[in-house]
Amino acid sequence: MIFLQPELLWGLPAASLPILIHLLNRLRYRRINWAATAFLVAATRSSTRRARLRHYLVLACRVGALASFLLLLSRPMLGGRVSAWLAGAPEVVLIAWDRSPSMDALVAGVGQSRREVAMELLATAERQIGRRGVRYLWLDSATMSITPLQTLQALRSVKVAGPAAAGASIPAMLRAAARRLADERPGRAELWIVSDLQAASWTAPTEVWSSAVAGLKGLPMDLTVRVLAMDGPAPENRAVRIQSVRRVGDRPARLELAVEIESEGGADPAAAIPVTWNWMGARTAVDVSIEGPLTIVRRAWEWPENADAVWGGVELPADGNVADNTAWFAVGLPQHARVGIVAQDSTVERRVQLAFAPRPTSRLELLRTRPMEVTPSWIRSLALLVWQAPAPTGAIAMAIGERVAQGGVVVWLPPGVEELDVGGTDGPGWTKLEAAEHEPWRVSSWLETEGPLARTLDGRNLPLERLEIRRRARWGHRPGYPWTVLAQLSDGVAWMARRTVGTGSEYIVGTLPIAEWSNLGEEWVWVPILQRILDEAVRPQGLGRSVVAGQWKAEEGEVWQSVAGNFSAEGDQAGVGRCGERWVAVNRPRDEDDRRTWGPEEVRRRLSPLRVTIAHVAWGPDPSVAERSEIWPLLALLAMVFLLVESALLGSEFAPQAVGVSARRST
Amino acid sequence: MLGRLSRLTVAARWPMLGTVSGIHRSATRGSSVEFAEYRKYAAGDDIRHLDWRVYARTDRFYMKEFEADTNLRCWLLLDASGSMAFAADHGSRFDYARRLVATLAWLLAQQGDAVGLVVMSAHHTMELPPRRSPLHLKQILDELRKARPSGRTVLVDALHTWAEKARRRAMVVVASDCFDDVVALLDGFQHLRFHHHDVTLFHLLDPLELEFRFDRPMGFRDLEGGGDIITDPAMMAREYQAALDRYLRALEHGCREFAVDYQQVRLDEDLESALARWLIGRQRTSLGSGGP
Repeated sequence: MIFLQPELLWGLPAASLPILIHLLNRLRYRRINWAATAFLVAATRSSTRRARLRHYLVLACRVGALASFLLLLSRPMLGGRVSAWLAGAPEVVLIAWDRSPSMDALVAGVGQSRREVAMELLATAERQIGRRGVRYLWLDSATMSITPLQTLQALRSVKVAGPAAAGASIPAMLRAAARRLADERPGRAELWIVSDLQAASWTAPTEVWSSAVAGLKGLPMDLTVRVLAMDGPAPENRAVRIQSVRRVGDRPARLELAVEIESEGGADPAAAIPVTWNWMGARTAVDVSIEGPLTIVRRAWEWPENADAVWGGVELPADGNVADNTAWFAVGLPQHARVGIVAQDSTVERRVQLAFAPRPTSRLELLRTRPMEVTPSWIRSLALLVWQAPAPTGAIAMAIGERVAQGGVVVWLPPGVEELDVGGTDGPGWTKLEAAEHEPWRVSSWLETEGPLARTLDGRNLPLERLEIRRRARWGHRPGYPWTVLAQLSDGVAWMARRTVGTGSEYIVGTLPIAEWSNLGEEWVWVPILQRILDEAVRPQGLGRSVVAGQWKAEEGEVWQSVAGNFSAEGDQAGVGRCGERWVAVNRPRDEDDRRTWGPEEVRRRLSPLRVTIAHVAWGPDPSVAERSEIWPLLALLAMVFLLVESALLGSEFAPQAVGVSARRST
Repeated sequence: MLGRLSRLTVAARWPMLGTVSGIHRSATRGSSVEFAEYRKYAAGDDIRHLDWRVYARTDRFYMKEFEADTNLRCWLLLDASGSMAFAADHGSRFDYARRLVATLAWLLAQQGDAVGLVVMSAHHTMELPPRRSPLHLKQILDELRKARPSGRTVLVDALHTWAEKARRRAMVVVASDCFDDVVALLDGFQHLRFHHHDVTLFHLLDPLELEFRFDRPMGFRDLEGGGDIITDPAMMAREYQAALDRYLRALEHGCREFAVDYQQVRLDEDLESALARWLIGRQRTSLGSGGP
């Protein structure tokens, strides 16, 4: 048993107050001359033992009640076999293990990362619960695989418990856990979610959460969810990530790289730190001046002659989280790419075509067709598809989905007014068309750190505020079809969003680049957006590309070797890998650097109506607090029981007695 | 108080044997106006008591007998053992007993009865035989003033002693706390009743002894030298009350069995009302009583 307020235990001797008062009273007895001594002697002889026992019980109850109350105030947490006995040992414990990079943040004063501390907590928990009859299933967030473990004592040697660059999706893990538990069918199971409650890992649309929780709730077993919250103060840390990398110019061509260095957790926002640049394996250490919480550092290299692809990276010195100290890139020469345009409106078709005007260095092929003429094979040959027509169905919709999953990119534009696919199940899910009554809508906020609406290399924003939107089409969220909003209008309605599927992406824009709809067609916004989307679509076609950990995996039969970082063919580690002439740079998801976390109330709300207990790690030398639970309700109950027993004993002592002595009697 | 009590008579419940004429019925036939009974004439009877009218009607000789009125002899037995010194909120038990005995002595003397006093203690027993003179009353009051409670109780021995000593039928009034063995006590009372004494027991008890209410640990010092008992009364109140109840029930039941007039008196009760209650009860029971 450990205590969250141990200083209050100093008050524990106060529990002996009833005994002290009893002894003092005994010392301070009053003398009286007594005549009826014979009855005293008889009473003493016949019942003192019982009365004394009762009296001592009353004393014990008072001491017990006081001690329980004082213990309650010191907030004890119970663990070990007792708590296991109280709770009943589960047959299966499924551990949902968040091994995202944020879990590698160091715990202040401990010298270990949250992930390592969590490993020790689990080992302690296993020792205290006892291994007999408990099966452990390990659900890894990076690969979403479930591995049976014999023991939790040697987790450091278990690969699926090690560090990873891939992000975590707790709702997806819950769905996987529900499926596995449904297969296992234990009578009693526990789901332990080990996570730092990072918002990026927990955030998902409401319907996704509802589906995940309903899956667990519907399991035919006694299920308890325990969240081991490894949250806490952010350590002193700096994170580095690639902001942009692009090949510019020709003969000689250059590679321009921009990286962001973010300081947090008390790290000196104005300091010079040694940064190691890696260019094709050559490492150069340079001191970089950090200016503020977010510093953008640019670097350029000359593109080597005859090189089809280049790679490199940047590394920061070790700090509060070693998992976010590297960023990698791999860029290949532009490859031949096909862009398909399916548009009902000829003006839209022309605007798209103009925005994709081939650049001298690219080998781009623009293909235009009508919706009725589209075939699945045509879809499969495209790197980018712009679709301005009623939502596709059947084989076409399926072909588009497959192409996106394999790295393709689709841009959905609103169809004509009458053709909104209300209630359809394929495509983006247009719901209704709206026209501005008086003033046109304007874009009020947008994601300017990355994506097609990001700031330019010189730090300037796209002039989105100049957009005037007079007509717009809205789309709805569908289960399993989550959109990330990239820009929204002044009334809160999404204007542009992105969805990542497999290694590809889908973009949806809520207006058309024609005068009746908006002034989007003017080049200052429309062209950069489409060019950036085109870059994203064409880049994977080359021999060098950058991917997000967890969203890329080597194809079967491919042999990849690591050339930098911790690259692995599973795609869950950050680094650069090579397979023949192809290069892949794997980086952690960008939102892993977002340190916002969920509070316990939010976690409870999302997991409701499951039976959930949340244990927060009190950072300190004794990490065994985490698998314990507070037992103050038990102590409150105990104190009440003591008081009830005491009052019962006193009640029997002072109950009306049938002595029957009459004051006046006469014969 | 004495003036009010003097309107009541200390009446014997049964005929007494006195030496002079008085207000109490005598155990022998006498010359009062109260008709007692007829009996057949026997040789030597005084023919003045022959009922000639009965002889005229029945032609047989019957003697007409009348009740005799006499005075009574009263022994006042005062327990002067150490336990009688108990004193709480309502004063000393021994003082109460002394006032009770003195009042009774005065009342009896006033109505012409002979009063004797016995003060019983382990160290010294003082005895004043019953006499009728006013000087004797003064002696009794002086002795009562001088008496001090001490030592162990000798009530049982005293009862037996005076049962033997006072062979003539008399009234015996005992004032005591009776903290002694009940069986032995009742044996003593039975002995007194065997000699046809009219026995009254004034059982003097303090409310504190009856209710045993204490709110803190107490050191009880035995007034008869039995040592100290330090205890928490709350721990033993129930058992104390049970033992006291058993004792009181046994004593009261025994007194009823042996026709001892049992008067339990709480020390918080006014002496006048306690005596008035007893005197009124006496007058009621003395009317029409046939004999012991």
